[in-house]
Amino acid sequence: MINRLVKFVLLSELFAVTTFGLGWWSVAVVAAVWGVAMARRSRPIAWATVCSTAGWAELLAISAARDPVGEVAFRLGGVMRVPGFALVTITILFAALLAWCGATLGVAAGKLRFAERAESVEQAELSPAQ
Amino acid sequence: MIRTGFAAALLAALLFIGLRPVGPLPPLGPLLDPANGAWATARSANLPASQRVVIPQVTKPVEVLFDDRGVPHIFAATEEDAYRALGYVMARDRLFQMELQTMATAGRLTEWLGARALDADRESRAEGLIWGAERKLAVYDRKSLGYRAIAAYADGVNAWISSMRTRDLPIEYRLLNVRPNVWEPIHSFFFLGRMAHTLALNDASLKHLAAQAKVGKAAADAIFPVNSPIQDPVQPNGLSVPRYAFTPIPGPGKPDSDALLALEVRRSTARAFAFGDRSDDGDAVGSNNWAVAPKRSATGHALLAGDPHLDLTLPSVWYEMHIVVPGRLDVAGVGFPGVPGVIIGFNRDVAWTFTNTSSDVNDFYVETVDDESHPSSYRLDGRWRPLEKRVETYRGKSGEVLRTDTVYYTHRGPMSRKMGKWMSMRWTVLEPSREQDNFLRLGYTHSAREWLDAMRDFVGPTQNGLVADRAGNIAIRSTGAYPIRPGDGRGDVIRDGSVSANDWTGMLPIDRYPFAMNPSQGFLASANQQPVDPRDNSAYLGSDWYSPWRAMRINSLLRADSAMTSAKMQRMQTDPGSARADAFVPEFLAAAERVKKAGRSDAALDRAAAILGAWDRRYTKDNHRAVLFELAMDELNASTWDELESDAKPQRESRPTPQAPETQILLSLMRDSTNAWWDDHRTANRETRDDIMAGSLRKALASAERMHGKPDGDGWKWSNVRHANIYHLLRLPAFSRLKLPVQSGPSTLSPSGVRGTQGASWRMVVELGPQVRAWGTYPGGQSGNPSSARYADRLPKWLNGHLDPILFPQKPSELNPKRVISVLTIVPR
Repeated sequence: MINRLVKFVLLSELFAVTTFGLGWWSVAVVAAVWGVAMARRSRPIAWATVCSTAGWAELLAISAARDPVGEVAFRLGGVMRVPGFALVTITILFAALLAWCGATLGVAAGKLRFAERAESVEQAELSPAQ
Repeated sequence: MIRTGFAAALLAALLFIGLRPVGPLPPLGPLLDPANGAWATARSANLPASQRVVIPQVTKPVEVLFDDRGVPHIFAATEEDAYRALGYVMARDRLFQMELQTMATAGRLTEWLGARALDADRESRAEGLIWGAERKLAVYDRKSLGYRAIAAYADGVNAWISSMRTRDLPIEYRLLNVRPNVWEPIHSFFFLGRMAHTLALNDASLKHLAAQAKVGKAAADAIFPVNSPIQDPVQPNGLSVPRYAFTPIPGPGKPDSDALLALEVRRSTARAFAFGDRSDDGDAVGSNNWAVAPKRSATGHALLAGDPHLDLTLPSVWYEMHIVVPGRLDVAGVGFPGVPGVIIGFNRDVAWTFTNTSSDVNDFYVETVDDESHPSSYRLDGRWRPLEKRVETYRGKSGEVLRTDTVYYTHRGPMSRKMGKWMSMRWTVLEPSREQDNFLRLGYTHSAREWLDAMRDFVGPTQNGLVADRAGNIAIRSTGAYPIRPGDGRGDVIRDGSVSANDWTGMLPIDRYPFAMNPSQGFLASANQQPVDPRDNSAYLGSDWYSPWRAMRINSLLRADSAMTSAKMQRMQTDPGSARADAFVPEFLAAAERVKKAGRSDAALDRAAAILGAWDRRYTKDNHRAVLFELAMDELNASTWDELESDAKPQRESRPTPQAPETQILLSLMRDSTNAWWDDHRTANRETRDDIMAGSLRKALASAERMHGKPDGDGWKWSNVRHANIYHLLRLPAFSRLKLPVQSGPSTLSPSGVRGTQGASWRMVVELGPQVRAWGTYPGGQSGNPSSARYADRLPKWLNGHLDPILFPQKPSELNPKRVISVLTIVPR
């Protein structure tokens, strides 16, 4: 349980920090790398998706603690003709979709790599000793 | 496999909408990014408690203290450092507004908005404001105060732009998917040109010609006279009441086909040069100012009040500031974002404010060119003179060329071809001049006399500059360049450009400007009325004067009170009384009474008269009668001036079309009950004044009940009918504040029109005692960030007519620390 909590926090922080430092697109990259690395583990795509939303939610929450994020949501939502809460939802969903896509592709790549590696190991085992 | 393929496709789609604009939406990635996207604008909504920044050009540290109204108090060792600091803080608060105005004036909006802004850009460039700004810049001595200020200001703006982090980018840039450009000193002139466009680019002759085409010259001359029939001028004429100079008005005559042709040419020329009507919202773009001498103030000190009326926008057209350079300058007030310095304000000795003079300062000339399609020269006094050409290139959002135009210039100004004629325009605003020097010098003056000297060579737009000093002097002068024309001197005709004898022969000497200092009446006031009684000064200054209703109201209030106070003057700025209503309500009631006596009344007329008679003629928010009066005025205008209408659509008094005479002419017509103008040519009968007035009342009541329900219901409540609508510069409703109830009406001191988009843009009252005390506010807030608490924090007080005391510390330690919300220290590298 503790391991999972630590994993959740670390991955969420990774999404938050890379977004802060590199930009929104880094979510897909981090998720893809995560997918590759965790391709054989349990639910890597779900982890990436949930943690990306947590990372972005954390960034919004930190900002909201001292700045008028609600006002931004209300005003910007008005410009985009959606309620403020919907804009927050769209933002989180955007991160989630980026992470899901990145992780899905990463997992596929990871599995492919694993399959190739397994195949080469198998071939190595089957081939007669030199 | 399918899931992987779907994920790849979805990621491609997300990256596409994340990186590229789709439809009206900007790229969503940078917008939704919670760390650096639009959400990050929340971080710049509040000023940091303390901050230290480097501006390389600053020579000594500058301290900027922001008070709890968001006003920067700048303490600097030199003027240049002060203006660098001002550029930095203004850009931090208002960068998008500053640049939008620059792009609009320069005709470069297509670079932000694409081809849809092409027409607006072409108009801007044809108008010659860039050409004019370059001419102004060329005459500035690089060592002059004005130039040093705009150069230092540009340093400050650019220091902010170059130090901006992604998260600091204003939200409007994100929505438009553009980045800020480098700020050039000339950009400050662009804004002054933009303001001149608003205040001094109108064509009075359009109304006159339109009327002449319909009803002949005699009638047109009478309903669009050079001189107002009600004289309550800026320069007191020695009378204690308005002078009514009503003259008989000839009835409508035969259409004048020559005038119709001239009108078409003039209209198309006006469109080519981007003329607007004087105001789309009645006299809501007018202004008030007044000053009271010590002998009529309760405290024995001079008092000054000013409230310029302009477009109401968010962020506001004004930015409030206080600049201190010890031993040299200590000035507070408001200036324009994009321009260094205080335009309206006060120092330790003097306070000043302006209203627009609305004088006639532009003329048109029909030019003879060598080649109608591609001219290279124009004829002047029998010789060909080369045309100056500028190839104007309009670029789109990606830098692609959308179009090129060639704009021609004669020695008079920009030339445009319309209706088969080449017309050039001369306009004082495009002349080489140094208004920036004038405005900056005002802060250094110590008396009204010095202030007047500092404004001596001010060119335009012509302004009624009002000043009061601590010694108790008050003065007003309608300052600016008034062209002297050949012949009859009128400026509302098109002249032949092929002879230089038709050029301006000079400018009116300053001793002929409307002027008054310390008049015996003990007060001075202006509200865009004709500045001088023609009996006192016959110089042609213009012909398109506002009806003097606001001036009459101000003067009557000042005449009635010999113990004026700053508090009373603040209340006056939203006084709900109306000289216009005072003039017309009795006329309506008298007409209804006469009709009744003649046995031609009916229940509807009796009821309408009873309702109107119960009105106190005050446009308070909770009154239930102004609705009826305004509709009756609309009907009266439409029925009286029906001969001027091309398609018989009703005119609205509060939205004068080019055909509608001012309401002071309507009042003049009241003296002649059977004048042919009263006849409604759309009916078989011949109507008289009383028929039209009674009919207007009946129709107004029917309309009011149809639109607003029963007279005492909420529908008739003024606050549910008349509003201020303060739009964001991009007209985004979410960033705007709309349907705000106001205590104002047409021609009240705080006028409002049907659209509600114009009005009092700044209100200020100054008491010039041993210690200068001042109060002020404007509709908006110091910040341009729509999510900031400082974006519209002044609106509630503005709506209620309340002004804030303005803090005016001589040194940082005099500012109460509890009222300091942010300290910015600017240091050299």
